[in-house]
Amino acid sequence: MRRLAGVQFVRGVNSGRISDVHSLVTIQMKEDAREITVVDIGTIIGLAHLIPVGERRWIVNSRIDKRTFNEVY
Amino acid sequence: MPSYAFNRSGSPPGDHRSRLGGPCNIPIILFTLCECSPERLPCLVEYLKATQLFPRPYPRFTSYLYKVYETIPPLVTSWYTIWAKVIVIVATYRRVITLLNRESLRPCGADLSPNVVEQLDTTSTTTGPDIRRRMLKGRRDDVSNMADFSRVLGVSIQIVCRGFIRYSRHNLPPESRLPEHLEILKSLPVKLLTQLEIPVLAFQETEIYDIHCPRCTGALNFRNHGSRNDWVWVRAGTEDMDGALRGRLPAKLVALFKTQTTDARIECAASLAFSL
Repeated sequence: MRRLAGVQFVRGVNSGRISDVHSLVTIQMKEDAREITVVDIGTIIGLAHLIPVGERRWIVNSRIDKRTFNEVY
Repeated sequence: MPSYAFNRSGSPPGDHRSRLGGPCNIPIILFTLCECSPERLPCLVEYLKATQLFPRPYPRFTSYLYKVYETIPPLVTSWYTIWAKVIVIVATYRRVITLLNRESLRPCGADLSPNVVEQLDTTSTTTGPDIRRRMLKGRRDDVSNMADFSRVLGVSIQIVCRGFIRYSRHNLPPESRLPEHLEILKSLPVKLLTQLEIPVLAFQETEIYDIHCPRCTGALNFRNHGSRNDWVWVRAGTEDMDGALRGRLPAKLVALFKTQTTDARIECAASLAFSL
C-alpha cells in the first residue's frame, strides 16, 4: 500500500530568487492550476506559511518559525 | 537499587505504579522486567545507546513504559514474553526497528506469544536511521477506487490518471508500474484520508519534534467552517534548484490517499475481465 498525496505545485517568481524589497521569495500558481502531481508523503516536509499578495501570488514566509510568529503576532 | 521488586515467580502484578515508581531508571526497569542475566543487561544498554534507541528524556519514556506494562496480561507465565514485548516496545517507541531476533529471545522452554512473534518477525534486526514515520488519519468512506476519487475531488478522471501515470513512470520500478489503460486505472483501489501528521524537528532542537498536521478536506467543511486544503513544503528537487527555495517547493494539498500499486494491477485487470 503506497501512501501518496496529490498536490498542486507553484512556481517561484524570478526563478525563486529572493526579493530585494522584503528578502523573501514570491511564488505564483502555475498556468495550468488544475494539474495534479502525485507525490509520496515522505517528500512532504512540513506545513508552509504563505502570505497572499495578489491574484494567485504569495510570499513565502521562510524567515521565522511559526511558534515565534504566533507568539509575536 | 530501588526498593521495589517484581514478583519473580510471575504472579499477577498488583499496583504497577507503586512497583515501578520512585527514582528508577531504564536499565533497572529493563533488567527487572526482563529478569535477564545481569551480564547481558550492559550489552543491551550499550546497544540501545549506540543505536540511539535509548530513549531520551527518560521521564517521558518511563511514563510510556507504565502504559506498556499495563497492557501485559496479568497472568504471565514467562518473563521472556515480557522481555520480548519490552524490546519490541522500545523499538516501536523510537519508531525504528527491533534489537534482537526471535531466536535470541527464545531460551530453552520460553514461549513467546503469537503477537510478539509476529512483531519480531516483521521487524528487521539491523539498525537504520531514525525515520519518524508520517501518519495518515481521518479516512473517508465514500471513496473506494479511482473513479470515486476523481468524483469526490471534482477533477476529471483524465487529469487524475495523468498524475498517477506520471508518478508511476518516475517513481516505481518497472515491475510495479501502474497500467496506463484508463478503464483499468478507474478501478484502482484508493483510500482517501484527510489528515497527515509530520514530525518536524523543533526550532534549534535535535531531538524534540513538533507534529505538523496539514489537512486536506477537499470540498468538505472543517469544523463547520470552510474546507481546508493546507499548503505544505514538498521536496521536489535537488538543493541547487529553484533558487533560494533549494529544491523545496510550496504546494497545495489536493488529496491524501493510499493506493495499492503492486498487486493492484492484477486485481484491476481481473475485475475488468469479469466485468466484460
